[in-house]
Amino acid sequence: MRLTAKLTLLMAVLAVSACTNANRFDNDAVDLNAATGSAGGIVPGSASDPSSPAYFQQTVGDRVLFAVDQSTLNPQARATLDGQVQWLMTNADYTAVIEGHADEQGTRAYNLALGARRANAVMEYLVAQGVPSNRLRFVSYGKERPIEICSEEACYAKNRRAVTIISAGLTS
Amino acid sequence: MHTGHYISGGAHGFLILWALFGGMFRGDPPEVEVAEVSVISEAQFAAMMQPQQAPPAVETPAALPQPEVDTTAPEPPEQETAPAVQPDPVEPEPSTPDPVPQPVLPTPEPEVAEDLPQPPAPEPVPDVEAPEVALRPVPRPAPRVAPEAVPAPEPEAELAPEVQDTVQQSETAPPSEAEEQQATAPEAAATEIVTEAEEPARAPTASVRPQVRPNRPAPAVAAATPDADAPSTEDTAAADATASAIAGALEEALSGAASGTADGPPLTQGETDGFRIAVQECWVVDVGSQASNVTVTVGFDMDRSGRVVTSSLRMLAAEGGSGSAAETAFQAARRAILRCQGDGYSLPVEKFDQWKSVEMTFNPESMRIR
Amino acid sequence: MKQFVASLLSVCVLAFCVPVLALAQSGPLRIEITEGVVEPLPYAVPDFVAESASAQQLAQQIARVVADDLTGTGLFREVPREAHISQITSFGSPVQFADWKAINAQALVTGAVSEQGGRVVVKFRVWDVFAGAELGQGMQFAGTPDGWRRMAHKVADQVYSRITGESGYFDSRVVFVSESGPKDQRAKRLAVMDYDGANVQYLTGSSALVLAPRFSEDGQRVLYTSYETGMPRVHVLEVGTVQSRILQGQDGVMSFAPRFAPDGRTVVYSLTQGSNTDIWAMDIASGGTRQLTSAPSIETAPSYSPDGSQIVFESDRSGTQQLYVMSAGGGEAKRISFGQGRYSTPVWSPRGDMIAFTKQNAGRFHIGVMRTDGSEERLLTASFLDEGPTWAPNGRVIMFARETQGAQGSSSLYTVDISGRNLKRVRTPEGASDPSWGPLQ
Repeated sequence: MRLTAKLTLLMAVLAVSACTNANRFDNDAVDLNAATGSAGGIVPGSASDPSSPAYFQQTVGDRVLFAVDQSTLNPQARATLDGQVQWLMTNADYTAVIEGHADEQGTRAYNLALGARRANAVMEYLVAQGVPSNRLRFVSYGKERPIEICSEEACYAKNRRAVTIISAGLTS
Repeated sequence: MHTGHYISGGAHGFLILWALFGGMFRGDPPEVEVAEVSVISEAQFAAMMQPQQAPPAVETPAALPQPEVDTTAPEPPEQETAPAVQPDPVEPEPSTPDPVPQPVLPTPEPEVAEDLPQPPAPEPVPDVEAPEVALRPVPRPAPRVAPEAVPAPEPEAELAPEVQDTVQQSETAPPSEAEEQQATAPEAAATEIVTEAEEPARAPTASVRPQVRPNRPAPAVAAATPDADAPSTEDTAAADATASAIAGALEEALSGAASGTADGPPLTQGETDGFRIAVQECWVVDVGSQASNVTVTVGFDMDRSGRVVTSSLRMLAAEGGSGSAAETAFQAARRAILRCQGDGYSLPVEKFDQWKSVEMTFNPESMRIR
Repeated sequence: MKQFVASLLSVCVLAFCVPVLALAQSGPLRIEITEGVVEPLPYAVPDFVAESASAQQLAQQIARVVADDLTGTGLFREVPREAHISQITSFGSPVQFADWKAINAQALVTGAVSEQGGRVVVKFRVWDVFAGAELGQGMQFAGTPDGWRRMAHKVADQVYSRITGESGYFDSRVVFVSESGPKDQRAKRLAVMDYDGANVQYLTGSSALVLAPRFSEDGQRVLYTSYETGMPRVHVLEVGTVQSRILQGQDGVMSFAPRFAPDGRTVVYSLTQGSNTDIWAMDIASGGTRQLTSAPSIETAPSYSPDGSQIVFESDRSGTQQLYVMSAGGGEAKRISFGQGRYSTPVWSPRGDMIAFTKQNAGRFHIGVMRTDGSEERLLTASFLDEGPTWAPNGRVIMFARETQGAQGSSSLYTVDISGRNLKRVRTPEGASDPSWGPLQ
């Protein structure tokens, strides 16, 4: 019952809130839940809580995209990251791991390094905006963890990404 | 020579032994029982490879005092060397010798091919790949790469180095070719190696055309020297081949012509070309091998019928590679010379003195990357 | 000389001294051959002779594996057994060369197998049919029945070596990443197999992502990248015990793309610090490290020259991935790739004279080879995604991974001769990538 209420609230929030950050990943919400649900065990209902990682993921936006072979942040990406900064500053007991990814059009080692560049670009931006660096770290998966599997630009564009994964507690 | 082989086989051979163990891996996944042989040490590997550096087969092996024993040979002493990939042998077999040189059976007496009765006609060797290669003017990947593009043979044609029409009492054909022969065709060939990465060239680098028939006896006119002052020797040539060769040579020398070798009236360009093409058709170059860096010169003698005296084949020079690469290059050249002779190379018998001794240089430089 | 001959001849003509003339004329005929054919050499491998009743099946199987090995190189073509005229019924009997000449078999392999008390003995000989002589000497191998494939590979290596003059590669193994599952949930684990895909054994589980295993020169150890700790780190695995450990001394955020130095004591790898990835070397025993490159760009995929004196690697310092060569101690690097497109994953050949690489150009991937100075570049393959060449121990063949396009895409291993011929898929039980070819055993 409580769950249903929370879901309803979430829907309301999504519908009426004047979201400062355009959430470009609404379409992916279900997939992302599925993906992170298996890994992190986030309860979907908690997304209604603005201090929850699910809220961060779905409402703030947990990822930014990159152009081919690039690691520069475009204005859209910076807007998403500004939202991440705000959330991280508000929820000071969370840490984040930034995962860098590449599309499949590249060799393995280079894509690992390229993913690291992307993740690091995000991390540096967050730190520059005031997030303490000891709450952040990054890792690259290169082309090993695509979320879209077609071999077309539509999929590649979504795979060239840096995803900020939130977890509770200061560990580092 | 045969006895030499026989003895040498017994003397030079090595026995390579090793033993196998079970359960080499104890992997994370369900334990898989692996039967792996032990790893051979460098020294043992060297010992194993040693026989290949033995003298070439044509050389008469040195007689060694080794008796011609085989199974009665004593077992080799056991080696202490523990198998390296086997830190935890499941069943340490007591007799686990690593490869150890051991006398091997003597080489059986090699049969001399010429002395054997002619075997029945061989079955045609099916050409698996050829039918796929259609008559297309562009080079396509073909299992064979030859100087000239050759279309796939007719299905019933048997593979043979030279093109040979089906001859039925042809008026133009010499008597020796009068009997019906099975049509033969060269194996399909591309003019270059076409890798997956390369678009086939738009135009062929060589046209598809019938090949020279090196084995067909040259017409009498072709046998004449190109020199204009030769009419008187023509008759001689017809009458007596030997005399003709001498006379031709004499005439050439007297006229001071120096169109060919410095030694006198040479074979015509057509005759040497025919010889050259006949051999190159059988010269298989392994591009990418070390041997394809070696230019090797082979000397040999021929008899009057145009057949190579096998025992006379020898390497005169080799440059561009190590000893084993040179040896391999020599073997490939030797095979080319022997394999394409058929019943003898077609060379004018009246000029026998010109070709009874041959030095043939095989230069793969232009072949290496095609 | 010519004058002498001419004057001698004039005398001879007058004297009608034909024999003298003949002697004077007989220099060798000199011919240069510059064009040959590139085609598989026809050979025959009759079933080996079973010298004991229990060896019947082994005798056939071994002959088949020998033939598969040889034919698989693309350098040899087997004359089918149906075409054989004479049968080899006894290992010691004389070979009827005429019968093998008649079917145009240029090389003949004869052999015999006996089995007694769980011990198998394989004997063989190689014959040059047209020369009517044995190539090398008869040899024999012994082992247990379940090691028969290795014995067959050893026979084939000997045959290959005697005919080509170069060492073979059949009795060798390949470590690779075995892949299963769809692209977005792909499970990867390390595995090792015979060069022909037989005898696959798994070295790790698939719980942690593993990448790019590399054999040591002696085939005893494997370096690879594992996410076991959550971050990509270089691990080393002892093949004999299947025990692995993380290499100590790795600073930075992540380390990957490791490769052994020829001496097996040093590891060269990529280390990421911040946005920058550079190449480092580590002494395995002490854990001491040394930075070899210090550009702000991505430097990765290092590979030693066989003498250990140089390292080839890829870098995007020019703006795109290109190949560079530097001293093994680091320092200034010289660019060697200048063609169109991007070059990556260079691997020095065991002969030392070539470098194999991956190339991306115009939306296609290629495996190619070039001289160590970058000259004579040749592309051997082309596909949607070819990657990660590794050399056969004799430097003649390259194995690489090919991924197919689309949502159902999967990765397989292929081999190709360095001439660009004989592109073939290696059969593996699952998908496979990142091959690293071990030494001849």
